[in-house]
Amino acid sequence: MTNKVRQIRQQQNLTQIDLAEKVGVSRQSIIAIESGKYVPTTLLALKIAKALGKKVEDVFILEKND
Amino acid sequence: MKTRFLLQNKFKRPGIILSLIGFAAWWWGQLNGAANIIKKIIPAKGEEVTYHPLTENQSAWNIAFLTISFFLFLGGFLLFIFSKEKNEDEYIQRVRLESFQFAALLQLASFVLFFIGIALFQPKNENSYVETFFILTIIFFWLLYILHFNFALYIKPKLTEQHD
Repeated sequence: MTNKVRQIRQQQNLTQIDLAEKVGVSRQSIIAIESGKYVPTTLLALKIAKALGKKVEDVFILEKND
Repeated sequence: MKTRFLLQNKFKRPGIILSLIGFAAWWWGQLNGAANIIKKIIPAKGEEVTYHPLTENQSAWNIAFLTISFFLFLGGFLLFIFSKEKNEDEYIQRVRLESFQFAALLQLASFVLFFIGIALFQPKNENSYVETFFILTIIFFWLLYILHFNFALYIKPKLTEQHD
């Protein structure tokens, strides 16, 4: 699974801390998700998409081998 | 994700303070500090509290002090370890789990290596080695856990420049 969290966040001029506060998680979580080291749960993915004002499938994308 | 096994974040700082006090007291106890004080307060107990490091003839006063200070240190250490982060979320809980696994695996490896070492070298005072190893291994496990947890959570992202 890939994600466009960093790209969308930067388009909206949000810092990692801003997004973390909006979602209610730690900044470390955002860093890990953006770098692809951590795949969030459905609940967190939905929260992130909502905080970015996007649909979850626009932020998190399934890859062929998923 | 909710957990029943962690304390609130406010226990973290008292945990650090307690463990530092406990460790300092334990260190002082190793230098026979408690026994020396008792010796001054109750001179009649002078002989009783005399410490002979070569014969390991420690006084009961000092042994009691060492035991209390060690458990104070361990208690503070556990308070620190079992306190939540300010923003405990699912990612932090995953890192916590991985750190436990990491510490458990290395502890297992240390057990195997230690007993292979004992079997190979067969030291004369085997029991004292085993006793010391078991005491150290308690701290070793938690130290590994703390190192892995803090490295993965705070240091690694900085090293790989994944933050902005």
